[in-house]
Amino acid sequence: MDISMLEEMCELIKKMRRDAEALKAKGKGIMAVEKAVDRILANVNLLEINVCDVKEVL
Amino acid sequence: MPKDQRIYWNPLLETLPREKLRALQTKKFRRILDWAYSNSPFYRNFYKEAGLEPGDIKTFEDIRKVPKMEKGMMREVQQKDPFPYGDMIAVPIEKVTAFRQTSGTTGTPVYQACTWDDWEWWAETWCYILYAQGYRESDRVFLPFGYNIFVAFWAAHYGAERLGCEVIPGGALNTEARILRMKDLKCTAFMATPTYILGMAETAKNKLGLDPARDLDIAMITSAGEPGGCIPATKKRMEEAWGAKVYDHIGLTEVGSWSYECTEQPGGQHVLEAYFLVEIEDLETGEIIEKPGRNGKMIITSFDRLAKPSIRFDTKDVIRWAEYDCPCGRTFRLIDGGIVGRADDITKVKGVLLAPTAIEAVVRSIPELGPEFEVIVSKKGELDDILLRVEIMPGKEGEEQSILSHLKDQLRVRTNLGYRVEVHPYGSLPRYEVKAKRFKDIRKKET
Repeated sequence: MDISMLEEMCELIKKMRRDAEALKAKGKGIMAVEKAVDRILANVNLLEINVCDVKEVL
Repeated sequence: MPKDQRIYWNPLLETLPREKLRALQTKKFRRILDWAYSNSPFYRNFYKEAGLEPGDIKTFEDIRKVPKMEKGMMREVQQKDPFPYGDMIAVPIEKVTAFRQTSGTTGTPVYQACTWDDWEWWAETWCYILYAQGYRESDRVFLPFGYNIFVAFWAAHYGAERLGCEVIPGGALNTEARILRMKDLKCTAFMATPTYILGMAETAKNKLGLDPARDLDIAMITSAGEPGGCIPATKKRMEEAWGAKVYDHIGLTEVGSWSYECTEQPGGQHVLEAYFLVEIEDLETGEIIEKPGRNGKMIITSFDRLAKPSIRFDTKDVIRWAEYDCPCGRTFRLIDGGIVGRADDITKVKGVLLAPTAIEAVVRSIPELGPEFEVIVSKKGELDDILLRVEIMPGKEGEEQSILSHLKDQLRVRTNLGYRVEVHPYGSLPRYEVKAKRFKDIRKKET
């Protein structure tokens, strides 16, 4: 894969984490929000493992 | 609709050049070591006592400086807080969302804590396995599994769902009902232990009058939980009985789903090296074996498991690197023939080292013998005695003498040992669903 494409993907993943964490902070105290974000973040974690980790060793 | 022909679940990791993969492994090892040191009191004390700090690990070779941990430590630590896992866990207890435990085959069960991150990770590792074995969104997958306290096929279920398959949980059904559901729903794949895969075929034929190879639509089977899927004779029996391809998978509750066959089946299993580090240690010298072809004990690290990290876990499983590559194009290394044995299973009988898997390989290679057998090692006076109990397939009883003679010859060739063989009526030896206990060494109990 093109390295610039990989970098773009990683930027989007970072943004997803930032946005999800911001949403969790904004919704603090609303369990429905906090737990839904936890599940989103578990998948962001997998994107980091599957994509961002690779970028760092190329 | 034609089946998705893509090869890789994640080409970014699965085709990463070897030197990059090694760099990735070093980076991930350092990350999990740092995580465990910072968050798990057990690991922090363990490494402090060994005079090790995470910053000491700079290169791939440095990883060997990290002390190994064993299952006994996991059991001991369970006596401590927080209940019931002990201080090996590296997350606040309220973050744990799933409890599982080992089967207890080798002693007191070890409890496993998973956060939601861990559980998604388990499912993801199964996606790598199932995609490599040909599972696609168009598959309808049956899980003939008890959905109990053991992790077993729970993660496989979630992995298949994550991949996009249609998953049917065959939990509280008996074997006949499971087979009938698989038939009625035209399932294309299922997953079970080798023992149960053979047992289901037997039940289909003898109790339901069905020939699984002809009357069902199963094209792929994933076998796990026992070494049978790595034993060519056992695999052949399963494939013939079901008219399907059988792919092996090897996992460990304490570690994760770390190895699998792909559709190319070159004779070995890939190690999911982007998620796990497998090291092979010489049984006598303790040296790490890099070259293919030499048996040693597997030391494994799970890179991404956070609630209960597994770092340099001494599994006691005996494996060897394969001398061949896989045409599938994955750069993940292969182990040759799966788990060759267990360091604590390989036992000396009559002065000869005996691996129970060698007996299975012989029995299952003789089609006139039934799928089940039992081995009992005992003392007759001062001498070791090996009793092998087998069944002869229906209709072959008249050939008993020649079958037994062939069996004894093959056992002598493969294991260098003589056996007393008892023939039992077909269907009378125990049938197992998980973790068959066919090898019983009662010498220690007698003394």
